Amino acid sequence: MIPSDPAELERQHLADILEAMRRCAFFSHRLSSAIPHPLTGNLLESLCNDFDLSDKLAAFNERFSKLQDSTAAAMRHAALLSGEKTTTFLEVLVFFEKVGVVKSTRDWQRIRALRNMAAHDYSIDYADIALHFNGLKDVLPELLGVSVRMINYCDTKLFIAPKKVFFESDWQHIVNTFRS
Amino acid sequence: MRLDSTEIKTVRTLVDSIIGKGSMVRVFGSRLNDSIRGGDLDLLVESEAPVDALSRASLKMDLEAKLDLPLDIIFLEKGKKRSAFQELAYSRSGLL
Repeated sequence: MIPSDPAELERQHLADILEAMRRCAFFSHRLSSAIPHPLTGNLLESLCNDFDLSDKLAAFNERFSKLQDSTAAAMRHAALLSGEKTTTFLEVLVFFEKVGVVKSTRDWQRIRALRNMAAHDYSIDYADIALHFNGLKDVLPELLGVSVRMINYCDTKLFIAPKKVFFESDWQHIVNTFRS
Repeated sequence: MRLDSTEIKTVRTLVDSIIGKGSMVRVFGSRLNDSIRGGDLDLLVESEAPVDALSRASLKMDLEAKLDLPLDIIFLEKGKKRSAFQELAYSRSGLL
């Protein structure tokens, strides 16, 4: 049954976002492990007809973007439910930097810029594509760390957990590896 | 070119510190047209060595923050064959 209380709806909505975040974290982590690192332009060019690799790269790009989007959405809602007066996303970031979820506002924005640059680029230069994926893989641990700490914050401060429990053992591995 | 001396200095300083001294910076697109107003800033940055993705993102982010302008950057590497789009942009650019 869907409650009519707006505050309870906000809480349920945050639980939904946390679940989406966790799915994206799980798939980003799995996909990242399945992609050779570091990639080079020569390797990508030699495997340009490799459907499996192409599929993994496209999926990794997508999951990485959605992980950052869902984490940002969770931050906005969690700030609201924490009673923080925030009008801009920068204020939200500063709040989560203060409570230790985000280690550096600048690093978060840099990851955002990295992801956005690729979203608007149509490069067919294999060396450039390799640079992009190497960059995503390099910063994924940082993004996973934010996600883990965000879920922990919501659990311990707001008593809100992801709606459904999926991939529990994989998630524990991510938590143990990236929480600090 | 519709960039004032402070903006030019900001671009030069950030490119030098993030990408490396000796990188060439050129402007293309609407900012070369003195008869119009506003618009984003399109830059070509040509470096001696490949620039990693995070440094590219840092440069874009820091420039947008300092200049308060939306910005697009094309990264070129000296001696590396340019794509048709890069060549088009280069041919319509002016040195900063």
